[in-house]
Amino acid sequence: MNVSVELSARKDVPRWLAVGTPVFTVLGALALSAVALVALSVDPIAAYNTMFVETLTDPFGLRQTATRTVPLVLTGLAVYLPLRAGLWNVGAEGQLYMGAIAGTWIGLNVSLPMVALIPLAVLGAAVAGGLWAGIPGYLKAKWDVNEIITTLLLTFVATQIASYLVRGPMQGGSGNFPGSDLLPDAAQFPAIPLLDVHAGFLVGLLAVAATAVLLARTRAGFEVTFVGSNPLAGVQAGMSTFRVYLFVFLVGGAFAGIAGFNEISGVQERLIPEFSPGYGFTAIPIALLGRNGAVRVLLAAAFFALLFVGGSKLEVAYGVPAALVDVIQALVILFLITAEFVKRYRVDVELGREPAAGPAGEA
Amino acid sequence: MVGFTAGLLDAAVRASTVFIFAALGEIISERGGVLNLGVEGMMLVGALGGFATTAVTGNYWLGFLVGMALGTLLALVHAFLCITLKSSQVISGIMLTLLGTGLTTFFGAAWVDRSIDGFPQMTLPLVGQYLVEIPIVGEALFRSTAPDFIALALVPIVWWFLFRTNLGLEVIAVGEDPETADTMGVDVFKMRYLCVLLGGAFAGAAGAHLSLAFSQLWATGMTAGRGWIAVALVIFAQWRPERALVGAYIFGLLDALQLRSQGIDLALDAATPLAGVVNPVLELLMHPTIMSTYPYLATILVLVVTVVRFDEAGLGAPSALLEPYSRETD
Amino acid sequence: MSTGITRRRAIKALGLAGATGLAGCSGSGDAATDEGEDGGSDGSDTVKAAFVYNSEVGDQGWSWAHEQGRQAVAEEYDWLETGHTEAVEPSEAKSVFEQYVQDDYDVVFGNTFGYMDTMVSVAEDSPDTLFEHCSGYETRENMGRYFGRMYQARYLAGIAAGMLTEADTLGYVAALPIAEVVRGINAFTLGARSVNEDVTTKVRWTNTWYDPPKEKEAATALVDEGVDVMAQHQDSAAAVQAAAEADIWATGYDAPMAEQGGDSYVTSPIWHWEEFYGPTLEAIHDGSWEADFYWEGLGDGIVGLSDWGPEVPEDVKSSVDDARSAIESGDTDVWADSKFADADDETLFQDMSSYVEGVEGSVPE
Repeated sequence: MNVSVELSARKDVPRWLAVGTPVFTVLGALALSAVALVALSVDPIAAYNTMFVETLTDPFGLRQTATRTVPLVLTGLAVYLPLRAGLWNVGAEGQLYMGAIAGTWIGLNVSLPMVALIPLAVLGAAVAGGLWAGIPGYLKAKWDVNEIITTLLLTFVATQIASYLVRGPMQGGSGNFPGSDLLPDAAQFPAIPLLDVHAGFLVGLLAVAATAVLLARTRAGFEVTFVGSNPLAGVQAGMSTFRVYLFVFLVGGAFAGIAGFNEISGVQERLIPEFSPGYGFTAIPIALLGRNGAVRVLLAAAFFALLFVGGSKLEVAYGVPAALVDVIQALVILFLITAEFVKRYRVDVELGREPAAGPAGEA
Repeated sequence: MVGFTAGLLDAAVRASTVFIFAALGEIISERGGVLNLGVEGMMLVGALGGFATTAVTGNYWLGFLVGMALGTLLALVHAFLCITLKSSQVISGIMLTLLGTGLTTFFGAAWVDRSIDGFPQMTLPLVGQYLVEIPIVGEALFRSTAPDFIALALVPIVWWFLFRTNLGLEVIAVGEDPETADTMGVDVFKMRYLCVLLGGAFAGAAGAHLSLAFSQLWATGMTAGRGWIAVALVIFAQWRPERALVGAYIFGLLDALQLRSQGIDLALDAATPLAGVVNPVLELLMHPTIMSTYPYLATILVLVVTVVRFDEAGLGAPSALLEPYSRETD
Repeated sequence: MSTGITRRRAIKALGLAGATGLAGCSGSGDAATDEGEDGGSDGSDTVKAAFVYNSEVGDQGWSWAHEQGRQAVAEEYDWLETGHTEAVEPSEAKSVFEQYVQDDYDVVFGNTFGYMDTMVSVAEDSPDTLFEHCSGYETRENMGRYFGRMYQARYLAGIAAGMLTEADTLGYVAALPIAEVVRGINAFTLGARSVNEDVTTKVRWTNTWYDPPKEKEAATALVDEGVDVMAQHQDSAAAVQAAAEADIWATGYDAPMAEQGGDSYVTSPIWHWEEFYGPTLEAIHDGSWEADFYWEGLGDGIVGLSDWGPEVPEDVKSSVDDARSAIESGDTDVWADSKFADADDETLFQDMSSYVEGVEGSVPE
């Protein structure tokens, strides 16, 4: 008996596949994770009910989800923008920490009313994050140094810098505990009335809008997209890859930096070590899921936020380690990239006949 | 002071083994053209799998093998995604780290309170008893666990494999110029699979070493970023096994210093000129948290200096690294 | 079979999420409780208590000890329902605390210093829920704080160490340079010096409450520097393991660590948290609870020493027993012969940031 697998590149992607992909990946990931739950003697249906249905049907759960979406959408954009230019920003986590440091420092040391202090701190965070990303950005733009490695390594440097600062120069409170002083009220995001989510949420939405507008309607955005799909043609058309690459990293890093300060100001209220459960890394699948638009990045971020919140609920309700959320995230990514392949290639499996004599020699 | 130095060197050598295992594996993988960012996840599954096996069976060699097998299993997923499905190596790798971390945290909670008898310290047969007598370095270099010696032995083996065997040259060819290698009859896909799987096996070994020899316990996330340091180390070593050994020792020393620097006092006497400036700077540079950034900074430095002075080729990176190979033009 | 049905049901569940009005099937996490009557949420008699731990219960140390306390009270009182969540980082504590408030718990216990500000914040927003914070400084009308005079037990362990050491050098693997930890180091050293004037203590900081590999490395570093009795302020038994492997005496912390210590084991200063949880929950049950600062010691039974290790000589045991009686009766004050002799409770609890004589080096900034 013969099994032959033929791969042929698709000419276009069937609609059901394009639309269905995100849904299938999520469902597939949940199904596989159910196995892990069963292994711990937890009923997956009940668990998923707690994670998703209960969270979404309850104002508290919705609020939590919205709060979690803030850092996720901002870091998502931080990865998304360079991705449009064909580059990988794997260092959003580090840029997040640098922004948190800068924003906290401003919040603690500058005396201004909230109306001025918060924007100033956000600006400071943006600058810090942008510069931190600007280093690998510059290295890539000028000398083609691999940005994956540089952004990644600088992430670890950043988290360590933050760790050092909160145990040393920025250590506050009483009694030698790692963490800065509490941010003064003027530096803490107020809650949005009615929604009862901190105002950083609005900053996140603004960032989404700004990115969408930037990419769709400005010359800079056009260059980014063009260079992203065909750098050589871009150069021939007179665009400067140097400027584009530097630009996307500076702006992307700025978004991540803002995410960091938003978290401190709106949630943690002081800079503490390791306050981020990996938002900058979760940003990568978010940017992938939302690859076709800033609004989709927002939706992807909301989904992952739901995962985080649900995971916390799950942990409280069933004693299941919240690490399951990491597993689900990983599986979502796994199915995503598999789906990418399925979208690009048709897979034809033939059994029993003579070996297929097609020219597309299989792997 | 002698006790301190000997202890420091011993700790440095012990700490370096993990890096040696992981970096050698990553060198093989990247030489074949596939970046593996899942090392951290593979190390963790190797650590937990090895530990659990040993806790249940009492046999640490079996545990070591199981750890390697689990690392290889995860690498198989990576290979399938990157080589057959031609997906992004970056995403696949990070995904596997996330998966490995999540799975081991999830299932590892049950193993935290177990204890095992792991690899004992040993000396080399025959000559060992004399070598350990060498002052200061004797104990450090020549009294170790079996995996420590294995890792050391692997350095020349991997070097010889890559640069002196036909198979090794095929590996390099596949990472440099897969098209030409293909036309010359090398099965690019099979070679790359081999490289990635070997990388996973080594990463699993690194993790198993951590839980079975180095610390002899299991704790959630116990790799503590060593996988990432290994990835950096490969670049720092410019994809050469012998340089990876040197790098591993340096990074191991930094690792050991972080805890032991509390025992040294390098401050200049206050009366010395410039002491007021030098002392705080020294204190900053010797701060354990700051020291933990040195492997990363050193790697970035090497990366930048080499590329800037010699352009990308001078770095020594396999030219086809990160590019999925495909027979047809899409 | 199961995958297919699971997927279909999952789709259905997600689809239903779109249709609102499903509050009926939520049940607010009743599945969460470890013990208690079925559907007893209307009983004004029932007290629901939540316990939040910073590390895994399997750490055989700090969180394990709290969990023992929880299990003890859960067994003791049939009007009590308890729930617990482990390995909650301070940065994640907020969502966990808020979840318990959402789920109508009456009291939330948080077992690490790092939860302090978050708990204050949630307590201020949730006046109908009671909170108790372990090892912290802050209280509110609905939030109390609790700890134990562990330094008394440390002193006793120090006596044992001072008698057992031959090199006159003791090792201490310490977590973070905060008052609580410094207090332990000082008390331990004072106890040792009370029987052996020549003793010095070397301290190595790990800067983490819980990181067994790091703790083990720190202990190894101390061994390399010639200590022959090990002590620790960490959440796991890693340092004890290292000491046992190096064949030197080991004292533990939080929990009996005889298993890890083997023949090297001396004793561990340990906690009996049920001595606090019990009366506190009873007070909540009968409505007499008030926010307070609980800081009792050997006399009340909240701190103590574990069983002795197999090789500990009789004279050590009897010396410690004598000292213990003296402390419990008030005849001995641990701090009497030190620079802290005149310190009040607040200084002792919050401000201790320097070593007593006999400890090498100085407390890091």
